[in-house]
Amino acid sequence: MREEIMMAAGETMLLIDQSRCVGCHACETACKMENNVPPGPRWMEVVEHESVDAAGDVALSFLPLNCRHCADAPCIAVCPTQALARDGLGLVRLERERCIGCGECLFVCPFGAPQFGEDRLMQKCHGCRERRARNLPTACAQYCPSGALRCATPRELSHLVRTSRAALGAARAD
Amino acid sequence: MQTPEVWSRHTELVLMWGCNASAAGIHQEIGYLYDAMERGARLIVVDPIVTAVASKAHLHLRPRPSTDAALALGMINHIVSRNLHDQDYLERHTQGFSQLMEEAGQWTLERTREVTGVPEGLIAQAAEEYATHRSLLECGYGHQRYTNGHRTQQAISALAAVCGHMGQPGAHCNFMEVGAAYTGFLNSARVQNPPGADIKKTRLISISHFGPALRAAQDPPIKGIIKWRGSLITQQPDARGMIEAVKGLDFLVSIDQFLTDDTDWSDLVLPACTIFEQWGVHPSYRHQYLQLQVPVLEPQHESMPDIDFWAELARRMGYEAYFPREWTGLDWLRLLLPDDFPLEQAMHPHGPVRLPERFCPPVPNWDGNFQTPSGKIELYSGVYAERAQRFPGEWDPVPRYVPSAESPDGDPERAARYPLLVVSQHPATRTHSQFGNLPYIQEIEGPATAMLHPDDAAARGIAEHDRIRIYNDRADSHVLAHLTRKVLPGTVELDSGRWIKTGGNVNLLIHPRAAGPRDVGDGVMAEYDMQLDGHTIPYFNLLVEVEKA
Repeated sequence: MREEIMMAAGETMLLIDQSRCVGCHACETACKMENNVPPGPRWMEVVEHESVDAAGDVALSFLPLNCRHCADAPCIAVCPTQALARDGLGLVRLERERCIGCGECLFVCPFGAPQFGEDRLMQKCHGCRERRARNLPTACAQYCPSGALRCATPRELSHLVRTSRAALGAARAD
Repeated sequence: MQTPEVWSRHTELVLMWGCNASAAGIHQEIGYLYDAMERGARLIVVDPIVTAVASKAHLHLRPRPSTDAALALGMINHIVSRNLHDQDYLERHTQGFSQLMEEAGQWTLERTREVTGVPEGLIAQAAEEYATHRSLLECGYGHQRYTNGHRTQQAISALAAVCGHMGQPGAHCNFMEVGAAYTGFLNSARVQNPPGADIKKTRLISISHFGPALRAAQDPPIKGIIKWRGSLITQQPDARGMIEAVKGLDFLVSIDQFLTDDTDWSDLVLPACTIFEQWGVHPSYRHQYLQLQVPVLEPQHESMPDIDFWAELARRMGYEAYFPREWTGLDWLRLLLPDDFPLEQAMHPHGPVRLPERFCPPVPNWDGNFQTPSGKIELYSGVYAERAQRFPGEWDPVPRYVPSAESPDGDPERAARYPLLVVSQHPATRTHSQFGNLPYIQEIEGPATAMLHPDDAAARGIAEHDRIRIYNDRADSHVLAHLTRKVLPGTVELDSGRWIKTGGNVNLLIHPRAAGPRDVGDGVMAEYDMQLDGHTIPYFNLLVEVEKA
């Protein structure tokens, strides 16, 4: 089953690098503008977490949360009307005409991704399917000022992570 | 200024002081900072608040608000005591090191810890790391928002000089500068007062002391104001005094896109064009590029480009010859910019254009020369000593820690009644008072909220999201409480830029006082030197008490 959803060469994914995120919420605004989403539903939301270590030092971390388009998506399994399905691009696709607004998907989603607006039917991040088809990054990645969100093929992202690791190693060896 | 574009490629350590690069000007710095860190650069942040960028730092020093000068002096003393200072640089490019050390020498680690609250080991480690790397000192405005802000900046700059971390790629002391916009590049005078027009100047009014100045001004008194591209009331430190001053005017005109605190008091509100409907020019902090803003829409409804309004007003006041009716914003830009500036290259899709290096070299002070009478960094400032003869003020030639006037150290009596010190962040979601009225921003920000340390909240019986009243003898402000260790005990954080009419404005609580070094009195002046006299506003010079509402 997992082989079915493997991305074809050239298909992009979204890298969410928590170490770079500073919680500016630019991704949320970019998403709203791109998809014309009114205040209320948040297809993307950056949440802040405050932690205190044993020494009493306080630090913040941030997590941009959208639909993760899971490979083994629990929402697809529980949707009683088959409104959710996996498409050929490896994205979890919503057919809103089938949605009855029961909320089952929200109850099982580990990321709180399903959103509900005025019509009380589910809506969520569609992965900027059309932008990606035109070889554009997702809107959230394009407007992220800190490089926390990056849109590239898995091969490119892997290379990016490895080269920055190598640069750091070289700097330490100096 | 050495821009992030330059230092990020060379620096070994960034010391970020009073600068929340993760919220203010985020597009200009954070990516470059990460580039430097991925090359292996260290990051030390000095900020009383746990910001996002402080959470990315290798070391985070959290001085009690307004004590930063003590911290810088303590670091200097530790560096010199360990012989980590740059004796060669000090001899060749500075003067007054011995006078500096007479002051800094008193700041042992123990005394520095007592005043700042920063552990001795952390002060020592930060000082040693800063001194022994190719270090870049990046200053924001945070530490400067007190009545001792000018002294603090003096001390921090001295820290860089003592280590010789100046004028090298990746090593410099940066303060907030808007590219070359203020250094002679833009011909502002040719637009404000075209050659031949000879529009008479009467006097100067301090923008940081505008409310008191407005009431004090005589000969002639100020009876009318036309305000544009800024908030007259919301962002003034003396918001209450500003409202009183505005009530005393015969005529107030606001040119705006929204109905703000200012428009509530205006006799006339003129609809302003957005940036999409008019020509403009974009210099900014932390880079040295210029981009021309090209209108992409016709002015909507009854709005007109700002320059058209001012030119029409000038024509009706008898200056027709100098403000040609057929001129567009682009013609005015030609006048504003140097004659040899490649205008077309600075427009989409070509721009931006780097400003000429004669105004802003990539590595300023590379030759060790400085624009002082001695040509050196004046650790003992002869200019200040001389200025003291001409104007009242706090003209200490060497940096000292003097408590901020309204702080627990500066006014213990007041602090007994109002024990909490207020600091205001610039949130990522707003630019000063802009955007806070937009539903899309309100959705992210939520209602007006103040940060309280859990210990301070517990002592007052305040729980998370309780409605609280922040007050002193001047005013009060009602907001929700957020209990968080992001703020130090004894500190309240209330964002800047909240509108008065929608609640949570912090400036209602502030005493109208301009900070030094020059004492600007009532704010009406015959002459003023921006570089020497200082023009900071002590926004965080503010003590309050908090109670459950």
